[in-house]
Amino acid sequence: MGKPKKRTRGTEQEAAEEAEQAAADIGKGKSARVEEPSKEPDEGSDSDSEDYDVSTDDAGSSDEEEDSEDSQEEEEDKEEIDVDFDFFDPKPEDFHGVRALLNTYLDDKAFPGLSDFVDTIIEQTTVGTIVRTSESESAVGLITALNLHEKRNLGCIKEISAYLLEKCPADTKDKLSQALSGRKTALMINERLVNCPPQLANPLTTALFDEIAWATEDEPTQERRDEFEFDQYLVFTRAFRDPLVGEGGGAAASASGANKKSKQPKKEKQKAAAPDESALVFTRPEDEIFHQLSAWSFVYNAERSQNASGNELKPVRIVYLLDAKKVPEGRKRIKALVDV
Amino acid sequence: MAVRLQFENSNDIGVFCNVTNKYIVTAFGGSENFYSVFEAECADHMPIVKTSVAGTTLVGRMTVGNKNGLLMPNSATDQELMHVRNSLPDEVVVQRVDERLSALGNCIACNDYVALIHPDLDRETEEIIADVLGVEVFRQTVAGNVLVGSYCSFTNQGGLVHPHTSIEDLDELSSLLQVPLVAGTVNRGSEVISAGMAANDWIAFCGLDTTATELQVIESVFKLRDAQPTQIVNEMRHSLIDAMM
Repeated sequence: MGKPKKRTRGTEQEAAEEAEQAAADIGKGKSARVEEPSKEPDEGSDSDSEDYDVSTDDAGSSDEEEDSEDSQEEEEDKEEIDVDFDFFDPKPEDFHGVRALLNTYLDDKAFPGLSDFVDTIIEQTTVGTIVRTSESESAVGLITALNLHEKRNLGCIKEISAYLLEKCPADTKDKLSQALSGRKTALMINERLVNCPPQLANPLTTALFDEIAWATEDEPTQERRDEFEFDQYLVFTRAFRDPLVGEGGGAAASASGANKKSKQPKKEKQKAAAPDESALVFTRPEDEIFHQLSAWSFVYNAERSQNASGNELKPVRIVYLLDAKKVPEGRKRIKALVDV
Repeated sequence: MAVRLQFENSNDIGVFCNVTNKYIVTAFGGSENFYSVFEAECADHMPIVKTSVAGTTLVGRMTVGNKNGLLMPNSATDQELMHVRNSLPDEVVVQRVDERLSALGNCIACNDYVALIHPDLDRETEEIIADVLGVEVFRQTVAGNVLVGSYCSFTNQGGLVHPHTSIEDLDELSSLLQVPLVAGTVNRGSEVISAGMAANDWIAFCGLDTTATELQVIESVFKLRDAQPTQIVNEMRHSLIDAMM
């Protein structure tokens, strides 16, 4: 809306008016910009599925572009830049990038098996996607799923399991240990740099679940095919807690989904100890949606949360279990979010 | 000998410590694991100082030093400067440098005799380096990269440089520094040599991810095999006596 005006106006007289117009147009301009990105991912996701059908090896690339209106950029404080995100299968060169992303996987706890963990993720080329921007050579995002039972003897998986059990509140411990020892449980690893746009949610989850589905059909041996027959996904991810949302809002305005009944008795016990779940702020839309559909979950303050002072969002870690049957519903909701 | 360790899950040892022949400066760590490795290896021979620089843990990349002195950036606070000065022996001159390129550890690589510096460093800084550290200073690049302090690490015995350094560059640098140089990596293929390791004449510290091959290369070029602090004096005895005569 602001763009065509700027291009046609050239006279000095109108330049002053233009500046005023631009200021007034910021409101209109912004709403225009919000609409446009939603159109992009539609095309993006179409080409996505095409790419995945065609290519079985690396470079299933898809473009996710943030809309930018260059002419208005200088006038406003916010700068928007075009970024292309490419999706690749994990490769050995990604080791350092992935390691950097997973450095704080166990918060501040020493994680000596981290390098092995990264190796395990990278070796699994059939299921797993790494996101890179065209400029940087290192990974900005990662999504993958590891079969916990298959990998249970690895030192790194034992460390992760031990850590989760340690952080788990007493009433969820049984459910967690059941999940950890389940034969068809997947550990879903989903990490990105903090300021990655939310539009990445749809292609990444599509990529993951499609690859899992293909793996169950395409893998050469029956053992490998079975490895990817998951019936539940254990997700260990990051979120924030808004300290301004009081604990009073818990019982009444709690999250939707089948978990409501089971969560309430837990909530009363946990109010003193753990963060209230209704005050959670998710930076990644797929986490929010899957959490709503989860069977159970628990939250604890991330080690550094004491540093966030006053009204800042406090970082928390959240663990939830997602039943595989709920995944299609989740995917539908994620797609719907983006298409708005 | 070469030792592997980590600082709070990070393999970039050289970022958090500065290792010389006379002293070691390390960062405050959450756990004592990092510090205790240095203590176990070196506490008998030299002081190990824990400090922050400009409130950060990036001690290795912000400071540079050798047996003669230690240079700290202008962002270092007075308390930090005082603390380090008090903890180090008197022969070691601790000086704060007013330099735009404040990550001194990234811009300067030195041993006890020679220093390589970033080509854009101030003339004044160059003089301070020559004065305080007692070294001959050369403005150089390593593998076309101006951050000489990051991409090469050398001691009085030998040095390791960025893996993409050409043979001609290697020869040139080697003749400037008068030590054997090898192009290699550390921490499983990381090209930022100085971030991944810290070494002096008889011991090297590397990140946990450093492969056995990389460790062998480091031990051989830095001449660390069977190296003990006293052996250096024995080796040099011939040249010492020659000089007097």
